[in-house]
Amino acid sequence: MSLPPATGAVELGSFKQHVIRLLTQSKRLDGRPFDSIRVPHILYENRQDTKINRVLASTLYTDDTGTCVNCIVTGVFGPPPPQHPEEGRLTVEVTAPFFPGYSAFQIEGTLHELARFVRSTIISCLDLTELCVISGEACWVLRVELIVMNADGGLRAATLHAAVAALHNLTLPKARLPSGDVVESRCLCFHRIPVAATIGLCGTAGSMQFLLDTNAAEESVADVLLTVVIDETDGIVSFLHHGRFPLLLPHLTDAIDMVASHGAALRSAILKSSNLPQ
Amino acid sequence: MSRASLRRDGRGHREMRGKELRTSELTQFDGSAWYSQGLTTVVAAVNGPVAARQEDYRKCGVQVYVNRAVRIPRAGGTDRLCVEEQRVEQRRMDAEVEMFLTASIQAVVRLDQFPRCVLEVHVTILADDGALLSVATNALMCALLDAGVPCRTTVAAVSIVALTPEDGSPVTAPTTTTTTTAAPEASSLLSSSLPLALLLDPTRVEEGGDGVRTCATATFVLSNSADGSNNSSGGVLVSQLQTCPRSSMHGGRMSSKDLVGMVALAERAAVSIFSFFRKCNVPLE
Repeated sequence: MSLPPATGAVELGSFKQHVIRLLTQSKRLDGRPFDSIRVPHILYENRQDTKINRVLASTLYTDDTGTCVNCIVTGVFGPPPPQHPEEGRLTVEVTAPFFPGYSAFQIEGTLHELARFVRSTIISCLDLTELCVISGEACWVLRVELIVMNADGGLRAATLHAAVAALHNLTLPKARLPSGDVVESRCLCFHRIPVAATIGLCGTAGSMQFLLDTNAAEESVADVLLTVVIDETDGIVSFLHHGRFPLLLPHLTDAIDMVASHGAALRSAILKSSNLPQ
Repeated sequence: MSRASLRRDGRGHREMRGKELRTSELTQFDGSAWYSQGLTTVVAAVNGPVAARQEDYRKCGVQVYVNRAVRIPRAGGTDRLCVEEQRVEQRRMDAEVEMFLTASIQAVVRLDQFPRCVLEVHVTILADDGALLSVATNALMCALLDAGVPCRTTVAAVSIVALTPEDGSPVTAPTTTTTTTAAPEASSLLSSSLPLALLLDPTRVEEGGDGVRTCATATFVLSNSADGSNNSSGGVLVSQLQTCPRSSMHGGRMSSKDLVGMVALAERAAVSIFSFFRKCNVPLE
């Protein structure tokens, strides 16, 4: 599931026919080979000017074609969750303010599912007990706000990469509780770094073709879509797949291996940019 | 989790909860199904395909509405923010169920036969005791068959929880940096040598897990086999796997081999659900 492709003045059905015709000729819309990814670029905003607004990190995720996600992390003190008093709290909000023409109900459902996916993936790679200040009394409440400015497919991977780049090596500042206690600064670390990619599968002329890192036009015509999230040891962090026909087990393992072969490049692209200001 | 390889409710690892199905009870809809596995109960109702205006007019549109019979009530005082976060999280889980069911319908129903139409599905979650995605998908499949919507195949959804095996040494939480680098490696060796233990049809307590052993929860939607045999299923149509928080720090790794094992177990469990659906197909006299 992703947002619909922006076709401009071209009708959506004709645009799909054009993409299908290109795929039968073994070509993609942006000229990439079938097994290549769009390397992300992370722009890291200077934190000195934004410390007043409680903004702890701000990153801008872009790739070579179109996708642009802004991630802003703010932190305040608050009570810990009742189910886990020894942990902090992490909330994720996803908004897409520049898609007014489409159905608002469908967009809202997609963004809600996207926020849940990003949050559940991050808390399975991040130790939330590091956000605890006083167990059962006070904790850091991190709010991750993701603004989807432009979407060109692979929305789960783009938002996850933007959030991971903002939260990795995040410095929780030295602060004072309302009771007067001083909380020392702390550095937030992932115990495993998730990277994600979306893979499309087209069953044209009886043969299966994998499309790595699909864009929005390919996602609208692909028969099967898979989103694979892996960590450094090539272990599966998350796996989502739906399609028009059933997949057998070798297809699932092939998709995971395709993402694993590009995992190091994706991870270095995300972490290298985030380490530049330090 | 008890020591004698039995679960808290007396089931074995590969045993499903009791299933119950009632169809055609909501007369104002074209098709309806009341389906429960254990204490998880979902009512699915199908309207349509009916004529409606939409953008992509070449095939039928799908609209899924997910509601809950019981929602978290609002709270005041110091807990207001935490309770509001839980309400938002519950609403997002409804959106996740909605997306999962929409993907299942698009995979199963022949939407290209109904241009300029909309298929409306109303799903009400009466009780949630784990395996919610699979129970909702099974209820939806029965409602679609009850409504007479033409489908490519019938599907059965299975939920599975993966645990690290109990035979290994107890893994304690790492406290210092040196043990952080050492303990996950040792635990990875342990978990890679032994396959993960799989629990079929988990309850809510088993899905939440103990924070250490529970590695991942997964839901697979499997299609019926084309030749109609009872020994295998036709493949995975929709799947969703999510690792649990707090378990990967203790070496709970999920590899491709474990995913293959989970899908194989789901395929064997889907055969029992298909036979259950077949037994419920008693003609009226």
